[in-house]
Amino acid sequence: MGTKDTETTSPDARADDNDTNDSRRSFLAKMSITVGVALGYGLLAAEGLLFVIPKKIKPPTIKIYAGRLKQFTLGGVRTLFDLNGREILVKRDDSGLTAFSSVCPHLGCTVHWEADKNRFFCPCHGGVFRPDGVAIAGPPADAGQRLSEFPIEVDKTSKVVYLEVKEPERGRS
Amino acid sequence: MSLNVKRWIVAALSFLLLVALLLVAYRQSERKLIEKREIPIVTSESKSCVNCHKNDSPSLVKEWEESNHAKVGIGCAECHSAKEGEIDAWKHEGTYISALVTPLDCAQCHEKEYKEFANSPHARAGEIYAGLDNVLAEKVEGMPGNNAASVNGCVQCHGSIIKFERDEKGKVLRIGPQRQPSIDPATWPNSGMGRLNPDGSKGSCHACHSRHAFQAKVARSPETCGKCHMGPEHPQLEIYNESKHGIAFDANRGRMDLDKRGDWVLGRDYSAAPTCATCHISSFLSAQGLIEGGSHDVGRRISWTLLPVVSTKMNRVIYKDGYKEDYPEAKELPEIGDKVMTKEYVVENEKLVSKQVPRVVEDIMTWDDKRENMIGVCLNCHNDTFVDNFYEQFDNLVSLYNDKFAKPAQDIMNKLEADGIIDPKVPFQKNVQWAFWELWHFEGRRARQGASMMGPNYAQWSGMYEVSKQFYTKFLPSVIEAAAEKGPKMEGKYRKIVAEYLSRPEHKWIEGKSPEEK
Amino acid sequence: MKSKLPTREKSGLLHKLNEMIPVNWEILKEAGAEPVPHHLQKWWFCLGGTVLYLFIIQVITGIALTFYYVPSTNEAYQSVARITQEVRFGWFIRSLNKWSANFLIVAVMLHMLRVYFTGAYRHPRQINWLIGFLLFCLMLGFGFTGYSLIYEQQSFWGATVATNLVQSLPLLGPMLAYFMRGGAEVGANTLTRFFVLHVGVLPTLSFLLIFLHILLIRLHGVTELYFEGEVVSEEERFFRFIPDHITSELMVGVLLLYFLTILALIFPAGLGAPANPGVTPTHIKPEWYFYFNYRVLKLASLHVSVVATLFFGVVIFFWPFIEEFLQKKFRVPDVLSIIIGIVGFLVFLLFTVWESFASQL
Repeated sequence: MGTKDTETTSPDARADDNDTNDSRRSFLAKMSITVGVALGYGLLAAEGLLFVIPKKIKPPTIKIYAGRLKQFTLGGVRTLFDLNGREILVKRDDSGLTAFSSVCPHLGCTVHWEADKNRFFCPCHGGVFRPDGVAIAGPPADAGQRLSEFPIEVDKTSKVVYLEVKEPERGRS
Repeated sequence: MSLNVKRWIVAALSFLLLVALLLVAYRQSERKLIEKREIPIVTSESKSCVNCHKNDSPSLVKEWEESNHAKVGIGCAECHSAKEGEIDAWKHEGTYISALVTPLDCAQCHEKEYKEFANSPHARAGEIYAGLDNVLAEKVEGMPGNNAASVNGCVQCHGSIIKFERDEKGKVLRIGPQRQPSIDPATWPNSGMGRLNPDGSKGSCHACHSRHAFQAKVARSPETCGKCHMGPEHPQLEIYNESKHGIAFDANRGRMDLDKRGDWVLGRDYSAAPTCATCHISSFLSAQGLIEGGSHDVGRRISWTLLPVVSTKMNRVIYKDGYKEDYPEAKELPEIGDKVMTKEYVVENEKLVSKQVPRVVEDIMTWDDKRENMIGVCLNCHNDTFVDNFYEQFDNLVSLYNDKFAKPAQDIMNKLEADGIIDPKVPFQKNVQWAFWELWHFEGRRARQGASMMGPNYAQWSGMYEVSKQFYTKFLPSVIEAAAEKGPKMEGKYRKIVAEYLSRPEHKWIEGKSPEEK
Repeated sequence: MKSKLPTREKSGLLHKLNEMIPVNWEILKEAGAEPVPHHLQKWWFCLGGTVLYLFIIQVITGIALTFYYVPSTNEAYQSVARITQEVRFGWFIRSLNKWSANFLIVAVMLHMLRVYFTGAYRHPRQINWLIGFLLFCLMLGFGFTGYSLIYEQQSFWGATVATNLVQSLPLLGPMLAYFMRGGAEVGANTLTRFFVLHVGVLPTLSFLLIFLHILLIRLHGVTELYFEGEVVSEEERFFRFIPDHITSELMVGVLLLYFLTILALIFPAGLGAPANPGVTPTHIKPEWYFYFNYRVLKLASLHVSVVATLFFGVVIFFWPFIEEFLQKKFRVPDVLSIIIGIVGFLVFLLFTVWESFASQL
């Protein structure tokens, strides 16, 4: 392999690292080239890595009009929908309004409110939740889970209710 | 090139590369996510409306998408939904809706503004039906079966009474496959300020807050007010444009932050110039540094009434249920807590009727209180001496008009009526009635309003000059003329009455110089 | 030749490894440590290596971009916008890909010029020339398909014009165009096709051809080259591949990356209006490396210009054989090749520059 027109000769004439002076110089040179290249390409690799790892952005939320306060009966639960069509269960009690996600924290089935039993119930595996959202029976209770909540507020002057939900999903976001 | 040299070169180049990559990292950290345009939210209730109407009336839907309503998901359903059984409701594509959106509908969310607006002079604009203007439009200008002057003119600003077309039995006519109630076309479309709605509410919010984008900058622009507050009998827009306020506005439109979302406060959000809304409605930073809240009650800051024949200062009585009544200065004010019989105009059987309603007084606002409200705005730019002196200038012109021309003319007209020379049931029959009408309704108002809003040309040449010209060259001669029709005795009587007025110091000039002055 | 590798006796582990992978390390080491003829120290001989380096950059940045790019007509533009605006260093990776592409094609052209003017295509190296020219065409294909993937107006309409040109090729034209587009018009199929070409077919072919190209170079070896009157001492005739030549390559590599980064900072890749099949923009222009063809197209009729370009390409492709034929048959002097080369390149340059200054469509 590698035939040449003329015989190969040792290119030792080029080697600078025979003398001690030169070996120090060449050591420094070797060091600086190693460090330089490592840093340069290293930073490039780091930036490339950051590129392929998407940053965790909190999904943007938006406040939407959710009706007026008088549409929510005291002690009752009203079902609203978020912008992706999922149910949100809004409970009104003496302390105000609470908006619960209807997604069961166990495996994601839809929870519903049972007024006669004053509880939230998940039909998939029999998960039971208190009116404040804490699970008290079934798999979610075993895992110490609770229904997650959405921020909900009532404007003082107009009594308009605003619910903060995730922006509608638009394809691959 | 030796190997070591090469190595150093590579090291140096790597360093350069490092610097460049650091710049890249810096550039990256400076990047912010592009601000996303707020997208309109179409809720499930309004989705079917939008999907159809975006083809039927694309710009209407596009304008709604621009609105702040769309940003929070308030769509068609929230404003246009109606209850079964309401006179203007019908079932459209599965839901009950009404084309009419009244202040009560807006009050679902904007209750504060509704309370302020109701019973304000704006909401009462429709009560013009009770006045002389109505006679002019319907009888003098219009003809039986065709009231177009009123329909296209007066009520487009003042507001119509919404009426429905009925069958022979008097039931509301419902037309089309959806059984849509048929509104009398003479009464709708109409977005007059004092529109009298079938649900009992007065007014229409979209007179100023034009739909469907409901842009704040439209409501705050003088041009919006100018749709109605212009013209020969109340040229407020023209006066404003002539005045320094209007000039400042025109030059500084870009600095006014007209489209600001939420409260728009003079002294905090803008300072370049006042618009109509600034002085008459909007919030301002008071001298104490507090924000004085605005109010949709446009009568809150008005101390004079410049509309009638003789101007008077206006006090205000506010009743427990929120009803407000204006009391001319001369009328004795009740005490707080008194039960008073108030006069209220309501619509019954699609006609404006006056009712007597007992109410309890909750608060009294004197004309001085109201003036102080207005002065709070003025003090943002002008000091108190400036403001007080201005009010003295203004008050004096109103008094001049009152004392020299209005009161004498009114007095003469009262006498003519008493003598049966003119019939109040037949206004505009005689020249003197026209001359009097124009004197106070046109020239007189222009003069007074010109002074009120610092429009010197309107105060003088389009104002007092024309008042005096009307008075001397048209009104007084027409008095004699009208009296003469009743015979020489009447003529003589009125010649004497007129002469008596003309001998007063302010009118004496007409007789030439006094012997002393010669 | 000195060997620096540990011998088999030294380490039992290495011995075991060597039994698993029975390669003769000695021969490999020798193959890799080829002494380099001294003329290769001249910078314009590094152009081939430059092309390879830039190609590697393209592969790496290209793969990275594929993490976020979506080859669907609905989402392509959006995904590019996302990469440019939202993804961390997305603008940087994309700009590197764009500028590296441009540099790559310039480097390929310069490399071809160097090879041409040093006569390195002559016997026995004709096949390498063929492979090289094919690689050049592949790089042009990369540029064309890559630009179309952005799916902005120029992407769409450029693809439309290009496929229409292909359509007018004699005999195979319409079939070829139909295949390229995946249909009668540029659309969804076209985009997915171009994507497959850009990230699958062309890279695979390129890897293969690059491998063959380098293999042939190593098999043939590099002839010593002396310029007229040049005197080279015995010691200077050759230098070591490692570490000398490698360091030179590193020099060039770091310098290139530095330039690319600076360009990415100052002239980052942008985004035009999204592709709109209903609206043709007033100015459609291909990428600069196609300006030559575009200009020829404007000067002559469609068929003439397509055939002319094809002819040009064929001549370049078969040039080693053509030259040999001319030299044998007509005894033309060597200098004729030089002249033809200069003239050909100047014509190319002229047309390219002309097109770049032409303001109207």
